Amino acid sequence: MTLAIYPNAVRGLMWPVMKTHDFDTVVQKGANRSEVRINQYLNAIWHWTLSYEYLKDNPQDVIAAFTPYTDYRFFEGFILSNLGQFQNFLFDDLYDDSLGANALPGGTATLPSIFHTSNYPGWQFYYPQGTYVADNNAVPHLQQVIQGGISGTTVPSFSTGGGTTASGTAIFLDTGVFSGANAQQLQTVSDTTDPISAATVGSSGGSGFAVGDYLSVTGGGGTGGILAVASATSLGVITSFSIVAGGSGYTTTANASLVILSGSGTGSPTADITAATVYYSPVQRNFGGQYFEDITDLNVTTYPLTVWDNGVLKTAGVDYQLLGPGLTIPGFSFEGMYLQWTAAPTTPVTALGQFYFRVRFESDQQDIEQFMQKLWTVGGEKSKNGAGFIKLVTARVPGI
Amino acid sequence: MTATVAAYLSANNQFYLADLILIGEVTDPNAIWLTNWASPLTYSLYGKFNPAAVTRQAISSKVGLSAEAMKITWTPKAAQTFTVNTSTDSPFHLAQLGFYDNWRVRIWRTFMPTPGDANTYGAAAWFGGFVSTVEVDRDAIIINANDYRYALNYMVPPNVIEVTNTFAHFVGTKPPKGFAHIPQFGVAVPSSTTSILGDTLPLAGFGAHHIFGRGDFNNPMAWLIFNNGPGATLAGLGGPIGMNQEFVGEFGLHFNQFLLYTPLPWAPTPYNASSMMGDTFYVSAAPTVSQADAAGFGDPYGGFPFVPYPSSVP
Repeated sequence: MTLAIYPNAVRGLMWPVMKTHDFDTVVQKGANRSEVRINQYLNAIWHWTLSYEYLKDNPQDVIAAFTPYTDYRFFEGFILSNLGQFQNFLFDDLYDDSLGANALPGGTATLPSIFHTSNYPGWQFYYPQGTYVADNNAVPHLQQVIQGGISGTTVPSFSTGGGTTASGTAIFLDTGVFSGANAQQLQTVSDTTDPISAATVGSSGGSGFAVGDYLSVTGGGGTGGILAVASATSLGVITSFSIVAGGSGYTTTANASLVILSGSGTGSPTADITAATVYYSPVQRNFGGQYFEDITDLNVTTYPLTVWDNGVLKTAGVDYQLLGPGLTIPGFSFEGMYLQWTAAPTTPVTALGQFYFRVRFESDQQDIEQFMQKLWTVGGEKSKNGAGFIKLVTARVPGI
Repeated sequence: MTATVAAYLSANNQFYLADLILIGEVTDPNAIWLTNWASPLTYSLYGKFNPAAVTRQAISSKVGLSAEAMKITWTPKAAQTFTVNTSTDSPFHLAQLGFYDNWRVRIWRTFMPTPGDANTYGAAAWFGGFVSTVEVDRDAIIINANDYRYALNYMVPPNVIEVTNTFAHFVGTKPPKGFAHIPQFGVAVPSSTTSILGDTLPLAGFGAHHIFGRGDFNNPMAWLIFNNGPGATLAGLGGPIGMNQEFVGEFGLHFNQFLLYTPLPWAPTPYNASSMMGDTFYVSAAPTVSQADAAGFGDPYGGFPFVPYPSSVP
C-alpha cells in the first residue's frame, strides 16, 4: 500500500516547530537511587508539533498543488482521510531529510547540501554564493553556487559538462563528479555463519509437493537451513525453492540431501545450494556523526539512493539489492531498508539520498479555528479556544 | 543461564532485553514467531522472530507442581483477509476456528550485549506450555496457555480406570482394528462440512478403495485430521467422528463416510488422484478406554481394571 505524503505545501506554517525524541527507557530505582535501566528500542520515537498562523479558505486563492481545493479544505481533508490516529503516512521534514549531505543550503565541497525547491512561501531555500550542492544526476556532480539566490519551484537538469544551471535566482556551476567518498558512510555487517544464499533444484524434485511445503537441508555440512517449495509442476515435482532460513555452516554443494518437514510430498528431492558469507549495509542516517538511525522510507522523488563502495559508484540490481524494511542476521538487527551485496564490498560504503519519516497523527482530535471569513488557524495569534497544534508521531513499520 | 550471562547481568545496570515468543512448532510453516523488539531478531538456535504488537502477563516463579497460566495478547497487523485456506487465512479467523488450540507456546527472554544481538548471549527459557483457550477480541487475539506442568494436574489413579480412563492406549494416533498403519484418504464427492467421504490412498497395508466396517475405528470419538499438501484448504483442521459407514454414491462407487460431531468451517475440496491436488485426511481410531473396548478391538488393555469398593462386595 502506498502511503500518503503530508502536504508541506499548505501555507501558514509558523515558527517554532517543536521536535521531540522519546525512548521509553524503563528505569527501576532503589531508595538509595541506585538504578537499573532497560532500553526498549534503538530508533527514537519522534514527535513534531506544528502550528499554522492561517489556513486560507478562499476559492479565489488556491495553489496548483491543491486546486480546486483551498489550503484549509485540502489540509483538513488530509487529516480526515487518515482517520485520525489510524493511518500511517509519510512526512518530509525538509530541514532533516537528507542522507549523505546537508539538508539545508550552505554545504561545503566535502559535505555539500542537497537541492530543495522553493515551492511556496515558508518553504524557500536560499543558496549562499560559494557553497556547494550535490545534484541528483545518476552520477552526482558537485555544483558550486556562483550566484546566491532562492531556488526555483522545480528541480532543474543540472549541468554535467562544466556549464551553469539556473534555478530561481540562484546559479550553479558544475565543478565535476561528486566524490562518493565524501557522502555518508554506512555500516557494513556480514552473516559469517555461511548460510544458504541460493538454492536450486538438484537431480531430483520429488513428487506430490505443494507450494509452501518445507524441507530441511541436511546435506552441505550445515544445520538449520530450511527451504520452501516456490513452484512445482501439476504432479508436485519441485521446480524452484525459496529460502526460509539460511541456517549456518554450509558449503556450496550440489545435490544436497533434503528432509521433508511438511506437506505430503514424497521421493528424495535434492538441492544445489550456494553458501557463503553475505554482506549487508543498513540504510541509516547519521545524526551529528554520533547516532545511527534506521531509514524505513526513502524519498526518491528528487534523489534516487546513490551508493559508492570505496568511492566507486555502484549499481542497484547488479552490485547490490535494496531490500527491507527489516533485517536480522546473527548478532545484528535493523528496522529499516538495507543493501544486500552481491559480493563482499571493499568498504567504506557511502550513500547519498533523501528519506521520509513514517508518522501518524498523535490524536484523533484536531482543533482548527475559524477566526475570520475564509481564514482558519491552528495555534496562531488569533487562536482562542483550540488546542493550538497539529502533532505528528513516529509510526513503526507493521510487523506480523 | 550461563556463567557468562550471569556475569554480564551482575556487572551492568543498563540492559537491552526482548521477549521472543514462538507459538507452534519450529518446522510448522504456520507457526507464529513474535518479538516485542522494534526490529526482527535472530536467535540462531530457533530462528527469526518478527516485531509485533504483542504483550504478555508477568511470570511468577514458585515451588511446587501447580501449573502456571500465561496470557499473551497479540494484535496481528491489519488488512489480513479471511480466506478458505488455512495457509493464507487471517490469524483472527484461524483463532476463531480453534486452529491454535493446544499449540505449543514458548517464551524466551534474550539479553543483548548490543542492541539487536540476540545470539551472543542467547536467550533464557521464560515459559513453556500449551494453548488452552484463545479469545478473539476486536483488536487482539488473547492466547491463554498453561505451562507443561498442567499435564500433571490429573488425579490418579481414577483417571486411568476403565470408563474414566483418558490415557489408556494413548499413542497419538491409533490404527483401525486389524491394521498396523493409519489410513490416509482422499476427499470424494459429495462431501460436506459434516459428512466427509473418503477413498483410501494407496499406502502400505491398505488395498485401493478399502472400505472400513463400523467397528473398525472404535467409534464414537475416533477423529479425523486433514493433511497439508497440494491444493489443501483444511490443513490442520478436523474433528471427532460420530460414526463411520460405507457410502454408495453415484455410479455405484463405494466410499468411506465419516460423520463429524461439529461442522467444518467450509466443505473440503475433492481430491484429484491424477493431479494429486485437493484435501486429504487421516483417521485415527478412538483409544480403548475400557476393558470391553480393548477386548472388542483385540488389544491388550493398557489401563487399570475397575476394582469395586470392598464394602460394596457381598
